[in-house]
Parts: sequence; C-alpha cells; structure tokens
Amino acid sequence: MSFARTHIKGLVFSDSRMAYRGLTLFTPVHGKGVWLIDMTGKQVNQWQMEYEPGCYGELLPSGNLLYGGKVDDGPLSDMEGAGGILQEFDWNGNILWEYQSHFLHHSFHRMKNGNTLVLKWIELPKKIAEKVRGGEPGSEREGVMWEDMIQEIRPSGKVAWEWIAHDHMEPDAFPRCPLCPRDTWLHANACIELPDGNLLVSFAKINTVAIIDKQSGDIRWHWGSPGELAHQHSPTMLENGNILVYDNGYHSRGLALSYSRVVEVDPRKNEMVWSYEGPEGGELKMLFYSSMYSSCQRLPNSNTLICEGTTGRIFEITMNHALVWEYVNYLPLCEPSPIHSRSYPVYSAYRYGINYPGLTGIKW
Amino acid sequence: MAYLRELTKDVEIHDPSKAYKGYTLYAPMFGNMAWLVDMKGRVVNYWEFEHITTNHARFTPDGTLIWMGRGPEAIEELASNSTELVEVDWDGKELWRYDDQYLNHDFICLDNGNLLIMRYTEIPKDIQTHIKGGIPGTELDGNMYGISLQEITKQKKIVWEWKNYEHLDFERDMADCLDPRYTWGYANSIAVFPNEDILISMRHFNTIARIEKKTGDIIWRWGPEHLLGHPHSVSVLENGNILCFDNGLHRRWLKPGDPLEVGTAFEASRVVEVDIETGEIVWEYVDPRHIMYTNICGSAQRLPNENTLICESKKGIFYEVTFEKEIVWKYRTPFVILRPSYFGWGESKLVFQAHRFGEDFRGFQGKNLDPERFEWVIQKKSKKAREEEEEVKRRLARLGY
Repeated sequence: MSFARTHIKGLVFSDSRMAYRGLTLFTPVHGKGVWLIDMTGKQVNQWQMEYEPGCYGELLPSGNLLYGGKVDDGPLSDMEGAGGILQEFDWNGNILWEYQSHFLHHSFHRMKNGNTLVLKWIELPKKIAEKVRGGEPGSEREGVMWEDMIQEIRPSGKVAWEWIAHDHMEPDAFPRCPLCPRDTWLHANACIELPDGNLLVSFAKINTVAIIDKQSGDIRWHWGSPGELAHQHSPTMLENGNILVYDNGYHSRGLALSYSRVVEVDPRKNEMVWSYEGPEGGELKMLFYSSMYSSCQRLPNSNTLICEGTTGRIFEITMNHALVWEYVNYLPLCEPSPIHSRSYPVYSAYRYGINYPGLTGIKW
Repeated sequence: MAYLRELTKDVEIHDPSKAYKGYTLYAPMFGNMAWLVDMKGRVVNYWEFEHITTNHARFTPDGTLIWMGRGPEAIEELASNSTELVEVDWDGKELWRYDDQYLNHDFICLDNGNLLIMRYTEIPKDIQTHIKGGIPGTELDGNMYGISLQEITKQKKIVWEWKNYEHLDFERDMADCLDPRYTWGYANSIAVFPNEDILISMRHFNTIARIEKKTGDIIWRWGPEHLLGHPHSVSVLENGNILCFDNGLHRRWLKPGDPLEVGTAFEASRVVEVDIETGEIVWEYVDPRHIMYTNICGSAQRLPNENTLICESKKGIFYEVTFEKEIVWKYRTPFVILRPSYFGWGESKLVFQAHRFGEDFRGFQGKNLDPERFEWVIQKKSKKAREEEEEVKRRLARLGY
C-alpha cells in the first residue's frame, strides 16, 4: 500500500498477459549502478559506475547507456538534483563519451541529430532575482538565485544552441512555490526534444510544464500553474500529441490532502484526458505519493509504467488502472545516506520492449 | 455503510514483554463506530452512533465514552467540523449530549468535571481585514473562521472562553502560503497543563503554543523555526515536557546545519518530545525505514512504561515504540470505510487518533472484556457487504497483499 508497502521487495506482482513485455532500466538514487531487469525481476545487465547518479541513466536506441553522474567537488554539488558529468557506456560498461560541467543538473536527452540536450544552472542576475517572488527571504544560496540554462552539446563538447530562462520568461510571470528556498528560480528537472524539434521542459518550482520554441526560444505553451501540477517530473509527449507527466503533489495548494498523480493533458485544449491517482477512490489515494523524483512512461500497448520515486516502487498499470506489474527496489548499493537512510528511492524507470533497437542481439 | 475486513493480520508485531498492556480505543474517520481492541487486535467492545465522526472518541476519567459526531448541519468546507458530543456508557446508553454546530477536532475532560471544547468561530469582518497569509481569495463566501476554546459545565454553561483572534499576532501568525484563508489559526488538538494553562497545536501556523488560562495570552510557542510542519496531537507529559506529532507537511526548508534527525528531508512524519524550558528536542522518533508519513491527522501518546503509541493516520496503522525506538506493537485497522469522505465516495482507512488505556483503567472495572463476544463483527454482514468484501479481497490479493 499503497500495495507497495508490503514487506515484499523485488518483484511483487506480474500479469504476463497484460504487462508490456520488455526490460526495465532503473537507477537507485543511493547506488553507483544502473540495473536492467527482465519481467521476472532478474538482472539482465548492470553497469557499475564511478559516480553516484545525478540523476539517472537511459538506454539509447544504439544500445548504449547514457548516464548522468554526480561529481562531489562541484560548487553546487549539494544542491538538489546536482550532476556534473555525462557518460556514455556500451553494453559492457566501456566508456565511449564523456562531458563534464560542474553546473549540470537533473536531466539530459540525446537528440535525433546525435547532439545532447543538457540542463545547467547559471546565476540569475541580482536585479532580476529581486523581482522573483515566493520563498523565504534569505534562503538564496549565499545570496545567489540560480536559474536554468538549456544547452545543445555536440559530441565534441561544443555548444550548438543555448537557451537561458530569463531571456524568455518574466521573473513574476509564474507564481513560484512559496515554501521552497530561493536557491533556484524555476528548478527545471526535465528537458526533451519533441518530434517537431521544439523542447518540452518541466519547471518544478513554478509547477509548470512548457514547450519552448527551438527557433525563437519563446514559450509556446505552458500548463500546470496555478493549481494543477505540484513539483512535477518526467513530462513526455505521446503519439497522440498529449503530454504525460508525473505530478508529485508536493507543496500542493489547498487542504493538505497531498498525493501524487500521473496525468495526461491535451495541450491543444489544456484539458486533462486521463489520470491515475492511486488506489481507486477515497482516502486511499493519498497512499500513492512521492514528494520528489519519479517518472511515468506510456508504453506501446497503452499501459503506463510509473516510478514512485521515494519508495523505490516501479509499477505498470493499464488504462483502466489495473495493476499488471510491480517491482520494489531493494538494492542497497552503497552506504545509506544520512538523509534518506534505509529507503531505496529510484529517480526514474524505463521499460524497453523486446523490439527496442538498443536491445537487438541481446540475449535475455 | 460497510465495514470491510482485509485479509491482512491486524497485529503484525507484538512483543508482550515490552509493550504496554491494555486496550486501544479508536474511531475510523467517516465511520459511526468506535472500537476497543486488545493487544491481539480482537474487538472487546464497540459503540455505534447515529452520526459519523471526522475526529475521534475519548474515554472520560470515569470510563464513559464521549463521541464527537458530525451531523448533517456541519459546514462541508470546515475540516472536521462536528456538531455533537455524545456521552455514553459501556453499553452504549446515552448519558449526556452537547450540541454545537461549530465543534472542531478536539475536546478534553478537565479535572473539575468540565469539558474544554474547541470550536470554529466566525471572525468579525473588521478583524478579517488585518489577517495576512494563506492563498489569496480563499475566504469562504467572504467569511473567515477562527478558533475559540470554551470550558463548559455538565449543565452546558460556558464558564470560560478564548478566541484566537483576540490573542494571536496578526503580523506573526500568518497561515502558511499553501493553506486556505478561511480557517485562520486552524487548530486540531488541545491539552491541559497542571496549572490549567492550555497547550494547542495550530496546524496552519506550524506552531504549538501555550495559552495562559487567566489572561488568554500566548506565553510560549514552538514552531516553524524548529521545523514543525502541520503538527497534531499535543500532550503534556508528567515530566513537564511536551509531546507532539509532527506531520512534516509544509515543513520549512532546511538550512545547512539544521539539527535534524534522519529522514525529514522527504516529507516524513516524526514524534517530538520538547523541553518547554529550553525548547530543545529531548526525544524524537523518525521511522528509520522512512515509511511513516501522514500528511493529515496523526497522534502520539506517551504510555506509563515510557513507550509511545503513534497513529499513522493515513494508513490506519498504529505503532508502539519503546524509548529506545524499537517497535513492539504494530496494528493495522482492518476496517475499510466505504462512504463519502474528503475525496468523494470511496474507501478510507483514516484514523484521527488512537488512545491506549491500561488494564487498570477505571472504565474497565467489572466490565466484560471477553473478545469472544464479538466474533460476529466479522461474520454478520449483508449479502452486498459480503460481495463488496470479496471484491476488495480479490483486489488486495491481486495487489500483492
């Protein structure tokens, strides 16, 4: 309980007729490894890392693993979601490509043209920071508020394209979470390329997902604030053009009945067309909850893979919310963190079907 | 209404050598029953009422039971607004009742036989304009409700009253910015000091405070600067310290160097014992597995053997932990309430508070505490309820229960 809080770890439930068959990739927050498991929970591959995750790994269509690592000695390495290094490995763990910057954070995305989208923190000019409202005064990081920069990086490491938030967003246009510290302004936590070349971005502290026009840098569409999303993660665009996003529900407004949701929104109408809000009906829905991390992925058979981050619970549901597969992370890969103790959170999880190009020739 | 019993064993952990032996009283929210269960989770008595509760029931020192019920005249938007206090004996016979449309969350039996009750009170319009904080525009049809405390006699005479808007500080006491404005000073529990001062937990200020009985002044407070987030269930211990369930919701951001035990970076709940002289935390319980979290409700009760009974409301789970923080009793409420609640029609396992009473409690003297009496609680059900139960069982089984 959610069903998840049984004592069962590892594979909890599997309905092989209904689940979308493939391999599941996940990165425990406190480990130094990325795991690929089959539908029975058996490990098919494991990449051992030099760096702790900052924040996760993704299997590319080439079969390589792209991994964001956390470098400990960076100036911002104690910020939430800090990274520092991107590494690309082959199936056997050999490093093929590497990109470093102390200011990398959260998310990355390999583009169709082979370049890589990265998120970086840069200082928000003081004059603009003063106009940003929300958050306890004095909670800036040594007086500085950091903002988001998105860069497109060539394989050589050169910057092909760059977007800086304050060039395109007014400091007071979006209400910022009033409870979060002012160390970051928008706190982007995901950025992906859409089929038309524009970018889909999640800004956690303004509770907003947005589409950025790649040509002009303008915000073409945004949704979530005020009142819809709360510190969301992992937006993706589905084949039908809708946006799927994990709405954490952390610091949500209102009656303190916080819980997570996975929502599918039609950006043409700004209408929610599907959602999963935990066990059906009533107060039990509050048991589906992760204040941070988390991801969701719509699968080709229309099921949805959900990662409830803080509990380390990865599960798959049908459109009708029936549970068809569930796995709870239990891998104590490194020393328990002093903050997160003995829980086994997972930042995000991905399912790759048996026909995924990156798995061609792999025996499992 | 249907009560559904799950397959799970109610008592998951029980160490008789360390647990405080007695009976646990609780009333599932949105249900109209109060249950008394023994250490094995067996029902030894229950009470059924006309109206549901969104709060709890308490034993009086004499062993009668007072039920806080929510009648149809309750105001929907006011959380836990109740309308009646009903006192019954062991067999459920009504002895006394008190009707008040604005009852709220908690009541305490005082040593002099009076009751201290908490209620909503409309804040005068001219005072409303001074009130800051909260989500703008979230008044209720232009109205705002404060909190008042009243001491009432058995003859229903009000002998003392305190209104929060006459004593709180408008500059300091602001609802936190994610909470609505219409309940200003939202409070959810009270306790009494030996000198009759009152301890109150004010959820939306993330603060617990001591009210001087004579003057009504706030003479002590402990709150957001100590990382309190939406606290519940205050009590005054025999050693003079204060025990409080700290939910953790809307907890202030953590500064480097904040003295914080494991786990509070996630929204984790904890129980804190605070030295009222120094303001320091002298004992704290945070679930090391990081699972104990309830954003609403919650209770903590210090037992005579120094154990602490904790109610993790959202899951309906009670933990008894020793001073050394070992779990020696763990109970899950088997009763799933099926009825309209905060989220519309649906299932709930919410329990507002749990109270343990030792075997020597006055109310148990000469009473039949034989669990065999209530085997039928499980068996006697309508066909529809049985079908619903089967469905829930199937679902739970599928979900890996």
